[in-house]
Amino acid sequence: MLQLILNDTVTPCRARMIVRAVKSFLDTFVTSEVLFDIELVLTESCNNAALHAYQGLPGELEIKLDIVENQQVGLQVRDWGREFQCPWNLPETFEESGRGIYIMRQVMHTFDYTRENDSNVFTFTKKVEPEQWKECK
Amino acid sequence: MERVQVEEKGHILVVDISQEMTMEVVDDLKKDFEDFFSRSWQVLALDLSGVCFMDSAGIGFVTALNNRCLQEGRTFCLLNPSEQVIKTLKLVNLWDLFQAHQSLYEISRLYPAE
Repeated sequence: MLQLILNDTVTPCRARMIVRAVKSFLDTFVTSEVLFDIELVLTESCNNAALHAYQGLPGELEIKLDIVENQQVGLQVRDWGREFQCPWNLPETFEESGRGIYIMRQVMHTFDYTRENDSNVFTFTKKVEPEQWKECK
Repeated sequence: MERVQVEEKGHILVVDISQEMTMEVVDDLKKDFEDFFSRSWQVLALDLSGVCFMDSAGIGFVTALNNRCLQEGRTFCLLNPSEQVIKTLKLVNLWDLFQAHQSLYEISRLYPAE
C-alpha cells in the first residue's frame, strides 16, 4: 500500500488548490474516470471543511490517501472545526445547495462520517477495477 | 482575464463560462450575472462546453440561474455542456431539469423572439 498524507490550512480560496495537489499525485495511478470521481469527493470534502467546519476562516486540514494497487483507493479527510450535521438525502429539485454529501455517497463505494476528539472525519473507499489502473513502470 | 464571454444574439444572451465552476469562482460569477439580468434578453443560453469540472456550488449556481429565469418569465438553457458537466448533473438527478442544446441555431429555432 502507498500512502500520501497532506496537512495544510484550508480556506475557501485554498481548498481547490489542495485538491489539485492530491489529484496530481493520484493521476499517476488511476484513469481519468476514477480520478474525476475522487476529485469531486475531495473538492466537496475540502469545501465542507472550509465553509461549514471553519465557516470561512483558516483551519487545519489533514488528507490521507491510501492506494492499494489493483484494488482500491481509500481517502480520509479530517478537520478540527465545528461538528458537521450531515444532510443525507438529496434536497428538493429547485434547492440551490445541500448536494455535497449526496455526491460523495454516490461516487464512492463506502462513506463514513464520525466525530472524533473534536474533529470531523470523513472516510471513503473507491474500488478500482484492474483496467482502471495505469501501468506504473 | 475575463471570467466569462458574453454575446447578445438578438433576444438570446449567450454566456460562455470556459472555466471550472467551483466554490471559489461562484461568488464572482453571481456578480457578473447581476449585470446580465438587468438586460432585456428573453433566452439565456449558458455555454458550458469549456467547463471541465463542476462541484456542488457550481450545480447550485446553475440551479439558481434556472430558478431566476423561471421567476422572471425568461427561458434558461444549457448550450453544448461538456461530458463532465453532464455526468455531474446526472449524478444529482438534475440533468432532466435543464433544456440542453447542441447549437445556438437549435436554440433560436426552438425559442423564437416573441
